[in-house]
Amino acid sequence: MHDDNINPAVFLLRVVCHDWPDPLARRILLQLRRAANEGTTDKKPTYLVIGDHLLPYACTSAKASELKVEEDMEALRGARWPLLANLGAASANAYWMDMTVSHFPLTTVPCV
Amino acid sequence: MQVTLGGQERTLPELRSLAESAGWRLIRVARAEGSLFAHVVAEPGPLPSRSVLGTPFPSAATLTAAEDGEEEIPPAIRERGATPAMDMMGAARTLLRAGAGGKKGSSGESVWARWMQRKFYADENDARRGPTGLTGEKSTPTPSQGGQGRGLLKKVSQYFVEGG
Repeated sequence: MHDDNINPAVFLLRVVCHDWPDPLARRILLQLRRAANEGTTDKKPTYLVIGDHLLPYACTSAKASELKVEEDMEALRGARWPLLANLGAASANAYWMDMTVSHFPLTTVPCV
Repeated sequence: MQVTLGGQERTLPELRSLAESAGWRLIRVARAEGSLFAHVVAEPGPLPSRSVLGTPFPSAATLTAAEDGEEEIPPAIRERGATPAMDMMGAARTLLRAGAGGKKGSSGESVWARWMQRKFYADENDARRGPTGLTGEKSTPTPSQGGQGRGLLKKVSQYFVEGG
């Protein structure tokens, strides 16, 4: 639980979330959220920094994004017609990683 | 770890749904140039409600209850959850392997054939299954007793419990 005497500036989760299916990753994030300081006008909140691969879509979407960052991140830098928005095979490694792990049935993970 | 624990890589919308379901709001994303690796910054956002947060260490039961709740889990996450179909695939693979290994049921059929039989004639089987399991004989369909309302999944797990 959050303790007013302890004010962590940042929680850093580097290649942690990608090890877990959503319900268990949520459990980790919730625990950190409870310990986080929400911040006030004169005090910064506890930030969370997640380091993970972020898979871009192969195509850009016409739909307006709710979040500004999603527009910025939609196509990789330099990826303009006739290149795919994710630069195709040039960035295949992260997708391979996802395909390698995704054969594992989630139902065998307790608590899912 | 990623393989063992059933991890996955995520798109930004997926990560955003996940973070928001745990009370974190994404505010900034930076991807390393030439790589898909990114650092995502989030700040505390509105907390998801009630049960999950009331428990210091949410148990499996609490989390499952949260999954059942309507408003707490964004659809993007709900869609990634395990489905009966996935469980069936796992069970089917296991049985196929057992069948290929020559393991036979009591009546000489392959395990796979028995599983298929149970799948398609489940209600009849429920009615006439004794402690020794299937007889393998053809019999006229009888009204099911206690077999109604049971899902296919239950039948498959029951199959394993019985040591089929």
